[in-house]
Amino acid sequence: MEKSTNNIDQQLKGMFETFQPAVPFQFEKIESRMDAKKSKRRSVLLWSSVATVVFTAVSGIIILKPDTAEVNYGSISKKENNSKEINNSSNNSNEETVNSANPTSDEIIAEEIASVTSPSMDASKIEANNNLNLSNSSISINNSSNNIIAQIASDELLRESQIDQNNTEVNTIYSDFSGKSIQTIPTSFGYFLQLPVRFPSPQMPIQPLSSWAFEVGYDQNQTAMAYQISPGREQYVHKNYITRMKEGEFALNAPQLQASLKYYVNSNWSVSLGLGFAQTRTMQRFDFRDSVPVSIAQGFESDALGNFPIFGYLGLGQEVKYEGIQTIQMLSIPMAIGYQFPINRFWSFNSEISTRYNRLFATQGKTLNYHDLSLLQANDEVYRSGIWSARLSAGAEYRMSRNQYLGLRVNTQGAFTPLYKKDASVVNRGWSLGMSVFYTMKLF
Amino acid sequence: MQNHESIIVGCRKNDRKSQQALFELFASKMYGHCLRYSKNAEDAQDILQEGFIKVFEKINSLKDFQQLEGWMSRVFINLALSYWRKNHSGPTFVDINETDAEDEVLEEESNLQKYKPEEVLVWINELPDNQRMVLNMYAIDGLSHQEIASVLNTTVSNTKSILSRARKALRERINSKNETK
Repeated sequence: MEKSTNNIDQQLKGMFETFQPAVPFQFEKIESRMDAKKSKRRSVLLWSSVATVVFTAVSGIIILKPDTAEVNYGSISKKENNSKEINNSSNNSNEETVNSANPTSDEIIAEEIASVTSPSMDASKIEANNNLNLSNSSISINNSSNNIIAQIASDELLRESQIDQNNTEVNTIYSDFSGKSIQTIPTSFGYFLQLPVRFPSPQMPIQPLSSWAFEVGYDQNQTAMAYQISPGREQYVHKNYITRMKEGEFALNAPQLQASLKYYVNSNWSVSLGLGFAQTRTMQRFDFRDSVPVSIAQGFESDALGNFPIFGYLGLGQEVKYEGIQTIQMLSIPMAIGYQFPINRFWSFNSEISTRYNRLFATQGKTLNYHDLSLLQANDEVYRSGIWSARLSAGAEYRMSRNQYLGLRVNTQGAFTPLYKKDASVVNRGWSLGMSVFYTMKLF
Repeated sequence: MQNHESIIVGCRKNDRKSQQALFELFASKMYGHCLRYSKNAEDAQDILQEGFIKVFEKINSLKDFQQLEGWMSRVFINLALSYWRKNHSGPTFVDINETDAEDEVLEEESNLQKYKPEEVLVWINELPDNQRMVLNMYAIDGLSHQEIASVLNTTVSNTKSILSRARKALRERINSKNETK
């Protein structure tokens, strides 16, 4: 029994059950790793959303793209009365009845066939009895799921188009009436009139576009904060603050997503108003130990963060060691004036000047207290909740269809309201260069 | 336990203070697990960080609050094993002679108590990977051979053999240490 309690397994178990070595790092390391993981997840989500929007838009464009074939249905009925009679009697086979050189008769045949594809005739099967004296010829159109299949009673059609006694090759291409052509194919016993098997969907009457459009856009920038001490407030700010911030911060990205309603004042100018989401991400790495400032409050006022002027420094302060990502997220209302100028049929020059009101709704990560260089939680106690920013952009817009456009612009943007609270001794702004991609759909 | 409950509830709400409290309560203990299953301190630190993130993410699945420590230990050990599997290459659990599998626990006594855990840990870490893993799981964490075999995807007789060899190798190290003293 004693042996069994004293065996190596139990000794090991007893030894390691209470084994608690010193952990070489603090919770902050896990916290920053969690933040990084979270922001990575968010950016994946954001990119997936962007990809979904783009995919949906592109799919929508492809599916809804109207047929560009133009068919003039209006003239057919008038021409019916004026159609020349084509003597196509089977007893009179020596007589050339279809004159390939006669465009009028060709046109009439084409128009006749086109007439049965008219949207007003939506019966699934249409018997077309033309007035070309083709008494027994019939054209049967099976209009199912927008596919119109023309079936021609071949015997009558052969009879209709046969001739050419000299057996000279007459390969008549009839005038294009719907993006397809009709051909006569020479055979040993005459000519076979080949009709296009598939007719395009009939085009609806052109709907006028309104002056309104819907636009979605995505911007990607790298916004680095520029820190500056407010004039006359030097004594409130630690002597090493600007250096530490410059050394410790690295701008990652500043994506913006927005949807807006656009109104075209005229063919060149437009105004828009929308709703957006903006985010700024900054990598932070602080590792230093600086002197502690000595402050005397009497006779002096504190600034917005409650700091008093610094009159000297005392020895070494606490070590500041931090690594993480600061994320600032804002909901914004963008307002813009746009100018577009067509270069050719498809491309236009496009520029925009916009201002936006950004409402801070989430912050993560830390910042340095500009007074004593301690770590501060980055939140609305330090930052303003409302910030104004502006953006200037210029680029090109491609017309994908009558009412849809896709564009790319280079932009410069940034906040013109400092991020720090009003009356803080430090002001910080970020201006950056970036790219914007946008999709505009003009409304009917 | 009341205190643990409030910490768990806080962690479930993603409250950073509660997460920090949980970390401070169990970090040392879990780091001990990580060190035992890792070859070096760097890997152990990585596993410790990842393990806590996993604990915070999965804490909703903890049903019995009294099992917190055991549940956390399991999370860390599983993570350490998967980390080892990911970074491990080469043959490991080769079946060895059945005769090696005889339980030698009662055969010989070893007085480990005069050594510090840190010292013993160094010896354990010097063992081949498969022996270290099996010894940790069986002797210290109390997993059965059946469980170890399924975790390591090998046979029960094989884990017994490996365990036997691990004990023998560890005893040899202790003896050589005793001799030098």
